[in-house]
This record gives sequence, C-alpha cells and structure tokens, in this order.
Amino acid sequence: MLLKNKNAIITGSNRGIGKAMLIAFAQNGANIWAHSRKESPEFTELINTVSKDYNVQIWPIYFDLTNYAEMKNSVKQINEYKKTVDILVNNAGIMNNSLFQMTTKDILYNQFEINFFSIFTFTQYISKFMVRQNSGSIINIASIAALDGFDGQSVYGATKSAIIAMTRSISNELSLNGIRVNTIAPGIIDTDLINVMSKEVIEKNIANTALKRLGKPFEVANTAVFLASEYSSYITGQVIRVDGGRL
Amino acid sequence: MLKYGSGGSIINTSSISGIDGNRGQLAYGASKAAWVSATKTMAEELGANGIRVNAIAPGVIATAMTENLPEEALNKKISKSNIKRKGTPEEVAGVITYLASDLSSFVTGQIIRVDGGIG
Repeated sequence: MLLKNKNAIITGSNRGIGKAMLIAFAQNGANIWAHSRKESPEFTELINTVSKDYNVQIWPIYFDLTNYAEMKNSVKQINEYKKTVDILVNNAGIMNNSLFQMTTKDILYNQFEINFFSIFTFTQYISKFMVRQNSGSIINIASIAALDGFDGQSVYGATKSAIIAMTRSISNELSLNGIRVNTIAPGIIDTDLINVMSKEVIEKNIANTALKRLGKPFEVANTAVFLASEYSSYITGQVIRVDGGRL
Repeated sequence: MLKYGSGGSIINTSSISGIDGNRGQLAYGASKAAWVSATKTMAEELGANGIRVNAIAPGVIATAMTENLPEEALNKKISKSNIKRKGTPEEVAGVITYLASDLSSFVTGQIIRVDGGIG
C-alpha cells in the first residue's frame, strides 16, 4: 500500500480513468474526496462499495466545473474535515473534437473553461491547504494530444498544453512549500471518450503503439498512484506519457 | 524475455547530462544520450513481445560518484532544481521500482527525469 493514511482529492471520479483512480487509490490505502458533477445512485453505490472493499473513507463532493460558487462551496466542505490534503488529481475534463475551420467560439471557450480555467482555479484553492501543511502532490491529467497534435483536436490539445505549461510553472513556485506537481499524458485509453473515434482510427492508433494495444484506465491510475507516492519524491515538473510507446 | 515469451521490463540508466548537456561532461553526456535513443528503439522493437523498455535520467544524486565533483558546479546544478537538494539513491530506486512493476504497464519508450525539477 503506497498511500496509506494519505488523503486525496480526485475530480471526475465517477467514470472512465477517474473511476479507475478511485479504486487504485483506495486499494493503496488512501482516503478520498471523490468528486463528481452531480449526485447519482450509481456513484453513491460505487463509493460505498469501494470504501467497504478497501476499508478507506470516501467522501463525495459535487460541483459543476463551470460553477465557481459550487466549487467554492466544495472547498469549504473539504476544509471542514480538518484533514491534510496530501494529493490532488485533476482528472475531470471533456473532449470535444472539431476540425479547426469548423470550430466555433463556443467549442473553444467551453473546452478551455472546463479543461483549464476551472482546474486552474480549483488548484489555487487546494494548493492553499498544501502550502499550509508544507507538503503535497498535484497530478494533472493532460493528453498526448497536447504533445503530438491530432486532427480535430486543436482546442482539446491546446487546453491540455495549457495544463502542461501550468505544471511546469507551478512546480517551480510550489516546490518551496514542499509540493510536487506533475502531469500524466495518456495515449489512447479504452474509455467512453474514444467512442467518437472510428474503428479504423482506433486500429491505426493501436498499430502506432509499441505495445500494440489500447491502454486500460487502471494503467493511467497506477501512474497517478506512483506520482502521489513517495516513490516519486524527487520527481516534479514532469510530463509522464502513459501511451504504450508511440515512437 | 523473448525466449520465455513472458514479457518483461528493461530499465536503462541515462542522465540529465545526456539530455541537457553539461560543461565538462562531453563524453559522459554523449554516452548517456546514447541510452535515450537506444531505449526508444528497443521499446519499439520489443513492444510487440510485451517487453517494456524505459530509461531514468537522474539529476544530482547523493552517491560516491557525485562526491568527487567540484562543489561549486554541484551547487549551481542543485540551485537550478525546484526541490533544491540532491536526490537520494532511494529516490531513484523508487522510480525504478515503478518502472519494473505493473504500475507502469502501459509506459514504454520513456525517459523519466528524476532530477528534482531541473528540466
């Protein structure tokens, strides 16, 4: 157990990679503030099962990433637990593909709002707890789209590039307070997000990886566990590709 | 690993000198740069057999090797890092453990800097 008695916040933990993170962090002994946009019977069931299975505490927090009042309220709730906030995983995000010339201002602004501005603000709030306790690990989820560039992802890729720039900058600023900041850049992972891709495109992507397969959500989650743990105590400001080797 | 078809994980030790360059380390840096290229090629060639190949690129680590380096140069390097201290051998070992384990099962062809945030 790499995260015994650590307390972590995971955004977007209701499905996909975030859900795998919820399970992987619980498996490793972390207590978790599990964020979702809104309450649902499935999410409540998931939290109850995972907390019972791994004997950890899981506290749900709900806010829409574009609703700053709700976000602030969640931060207040977290504060009221009077616990250290050791780990923040900024996992929640959206992918809205559109060709460059077809991209409307709405698509542009909406994706930046959710994938970057909200994460920026939330990290500002949460890093205050970490500065106070003089320790912490922040893990952002970007994408190889930020590094490699893909058709239809001029906006999505740009939002994720913004996350990488933020990572490098705040790793500098916050290391004085004992806080490490790193980013994971996943490749093509087998989640709902790839439903927008045609079978052909998926096959082509698989052929492009050294391991000749799609990644699984828990494989991204496990790298987040590593970055949250003491195993990575001398790693900060880095972008780790979890992409099966696109060489 | 190929013979038994069991997959595997190979971890090479490069250095940030192999990526960034470093005054007085032309030969050392070049030899470590070779592992950047070799790691990527090995990952590409061996991936289909379930063998992952990654490299670590340590920064200034507190070992006998860095004891003999001029203190001024070392301190200058350390001051460029975010964490502002030498790394420990255990901290490098932690990353090797990650790369050797299933925690990194979809990670291959990567060069992981263990440098306290120099680059």
